Amino acid sequence: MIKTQGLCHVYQPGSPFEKHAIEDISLHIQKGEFVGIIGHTGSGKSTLIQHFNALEMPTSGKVYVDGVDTSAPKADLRLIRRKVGLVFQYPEHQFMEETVRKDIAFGPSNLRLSQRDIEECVLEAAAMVGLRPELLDKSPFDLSGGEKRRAAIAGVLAMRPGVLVLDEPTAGLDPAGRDELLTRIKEMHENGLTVVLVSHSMEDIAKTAQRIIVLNEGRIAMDGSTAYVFSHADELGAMGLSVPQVSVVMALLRKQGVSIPDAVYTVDQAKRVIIGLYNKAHKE
Amino acid sequence: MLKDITLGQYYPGNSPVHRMDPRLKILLTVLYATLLFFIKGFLGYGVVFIFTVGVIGLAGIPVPYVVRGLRPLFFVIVFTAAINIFMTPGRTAFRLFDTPIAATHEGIYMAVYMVLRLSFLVVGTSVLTLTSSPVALTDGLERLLGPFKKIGVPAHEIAMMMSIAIRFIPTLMEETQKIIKAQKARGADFESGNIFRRAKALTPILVPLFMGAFRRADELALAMESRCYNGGENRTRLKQMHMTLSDCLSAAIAALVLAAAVTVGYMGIL
Repeated sequence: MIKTQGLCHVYQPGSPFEKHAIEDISLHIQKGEFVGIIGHTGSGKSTLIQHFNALEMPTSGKVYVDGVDTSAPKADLRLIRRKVGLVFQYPEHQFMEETVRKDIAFGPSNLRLSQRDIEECVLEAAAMVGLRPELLDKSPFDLSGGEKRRAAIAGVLAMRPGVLVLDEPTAGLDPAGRDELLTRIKEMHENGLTVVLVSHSMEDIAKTAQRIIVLNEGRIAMDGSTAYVFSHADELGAMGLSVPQVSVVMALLRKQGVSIPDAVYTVDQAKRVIIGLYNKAHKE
Repeated sequence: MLKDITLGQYYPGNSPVHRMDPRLKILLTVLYATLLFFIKGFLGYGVVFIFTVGVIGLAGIPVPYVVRGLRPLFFVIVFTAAINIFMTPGRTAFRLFDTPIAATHEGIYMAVYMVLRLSFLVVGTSVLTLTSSPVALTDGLERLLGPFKKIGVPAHEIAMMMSIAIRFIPTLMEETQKIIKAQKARGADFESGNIFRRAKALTPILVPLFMGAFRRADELALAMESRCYNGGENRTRLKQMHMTLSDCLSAAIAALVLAAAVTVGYMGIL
């Protein structure tokens, strides 16, 4: 789906403000994957994902979306941006229509679809993020925080992308809004959408991603399954990252001599392990 | 693009020009800009040229950097020159492709004057903003407007508004870039179509930009209030301005040089 080869990006090259944002990134995101990208502030996450839909162009290296080179002179950038739906941080700051329906329709109407198809896209996207139909005729500014966020994400989903890339989608949401959104994103993935999730919250990543790419100072520091990455707590710590809190608790228990399997990084898994241990102890 | 505008952006440094009291600098710039229009004769402009280059050199700013500030005004300058060359009545110098549009000797003369004036005006005034931080500048302005408070000029409020406006220029530029990207990600097209289409395509940028500006204004007002901000009366400042002897001396020298430039012109030498 998305492939990069030796991707580098330099901001303001040749000026005193020159900054190497990402260097030598080679990765391959397959159809149907759920990839988490983590990294310290300034590690190049946002720059990287903007290459996925050709908003930024590589200084050197290549990005392929469905086999199409995004920097090729005759690449259809709008088609690439349709295929790779990118949701920025705080996407609700980009509302500009008087109703939620019109705002979600902005993407599909840019694709010059017929009125009926647009309406269909809007309803489908709203259903995917769990927006009640009666909210569609309200002003987007009258929604709650979580609803606003989901309406804004629907605005990208309405273009029916094959890959959904989200930059910190849960930032600033209350716990209920957070859970609701993550559940919806997981659901979309189960229905076949490829998802790339950038987050500072290890808990969010642990709950959803199958594979994690760790960025450090513009380079890929680790790329592997969620269990693999979260078993390297020390390396993550050295990069200013952490593992989910529950993994820390599990590691402490393990130090105390409790026999706990390696790959425990969500509260649900921990619950099952502890209940198992309790039942075992009870039987004996 | 937007980032390339260097016109008058503060160029940090610690030269005598940078250290000069901002009040004096503002006054001298006003004097400079006014006198430019009284100078006659090229010798006068020669003096101004030496003075301007001297000040820029003293400030330690590379001359090409300052001249680059003229770039955005290139069209205005060319346009002014063209109007003057062809619209001033007088003796015909040449005709444009045998049409009735004729350039006159007086017009060419005027055009050279206007180009010189405009260029010196832009370069000279940008030295003020290049060598004074926005805070120093607005502080200086506030103090200069101080006496007019008696007749109801809200000097402090004007200065405060200016500082806030200057402070938020980079923030809003960044925000604009972000909104453009986000709307492009939703398939918006800003590059094609006729002028009306393009103007219409700006709505998805302008609406979120204004909403963002209002949101920021609200937050800023709240933050200021929670720090008990109270403008104007009895407000003390962290940095007091002191007019030193060397400030007065350099101001006097500058004023003298400018006066000389005007006089040279009036004496009719060249």
